[in-house]
Amino acid sequence: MSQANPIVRKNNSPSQGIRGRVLAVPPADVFENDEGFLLRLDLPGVDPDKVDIRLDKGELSIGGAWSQPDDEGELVGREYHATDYRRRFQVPDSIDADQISATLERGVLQVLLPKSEALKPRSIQVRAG
Amino acid sequence: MLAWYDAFTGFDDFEEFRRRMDRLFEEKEQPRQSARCGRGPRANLFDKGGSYRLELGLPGVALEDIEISGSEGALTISGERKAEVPEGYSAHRQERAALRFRRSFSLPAQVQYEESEAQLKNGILSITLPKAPELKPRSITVRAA
Repeated sequence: MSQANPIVRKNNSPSQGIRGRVLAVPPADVFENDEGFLLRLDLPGVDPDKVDIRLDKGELSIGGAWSQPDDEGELVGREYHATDYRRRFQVPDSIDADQISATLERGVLQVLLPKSEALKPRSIQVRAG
Repeated sequence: MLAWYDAFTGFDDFEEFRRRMDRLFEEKEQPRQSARCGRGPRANLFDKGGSYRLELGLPGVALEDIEISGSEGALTISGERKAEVPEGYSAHRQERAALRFRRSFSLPAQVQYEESEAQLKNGILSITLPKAPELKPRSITVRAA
């Protein structure tokens, strides 16, 4: 279930907070190393094709939609509603936008944002003169 | 002297870069409390006629870290998720907290635990619990006298 997902889907309409649906801001982790940034967001129930990630003018927006299947039977108790997840981040210019990738596993979205080659730290060899 | 001045301009640029890095992933919204797992994982329960179906949102939890037990009075689900920083990374923000949960549900009717099945998909645990035979709806054929 760790199938790679194309990241930029310009033609998909973003999820909207429709009547009867809950709009939620999912909790996120942000990690960094020399190579880039790693984002993790909890999107329980969301299918990979219902995730929408876009980067525009330095703003990374992540959307995901979850709906209860129709054939579930009679509802006895409900705490979980059909949900639209939405979160936006300001990302630095140092991100190589073409190299962003995402995977969804166990309801956790993982977005990898590599830094541009020019900005990665390098070690410079010092030679004896 | 000019060379040194240029060098310091360089440091200013570096400072600017650093400052921007600090603002990195500055966000537009704060997560609402409801979006977190503060009260424990949320659940839905359905009556499917011959069985019940319980769904529990457990993002990032592995099946082997979930324990399900049933008694006459209640179905109990417990487990945990660790908050971890992936190897080689440092954390800017960690909102996906470690999760140790235990929830008990009293079902509206007797179920056959030994016939129950659980599966985990997209971070949602689904448990199908067949009702005890005497509780299943029966269709009764009405014959002409």
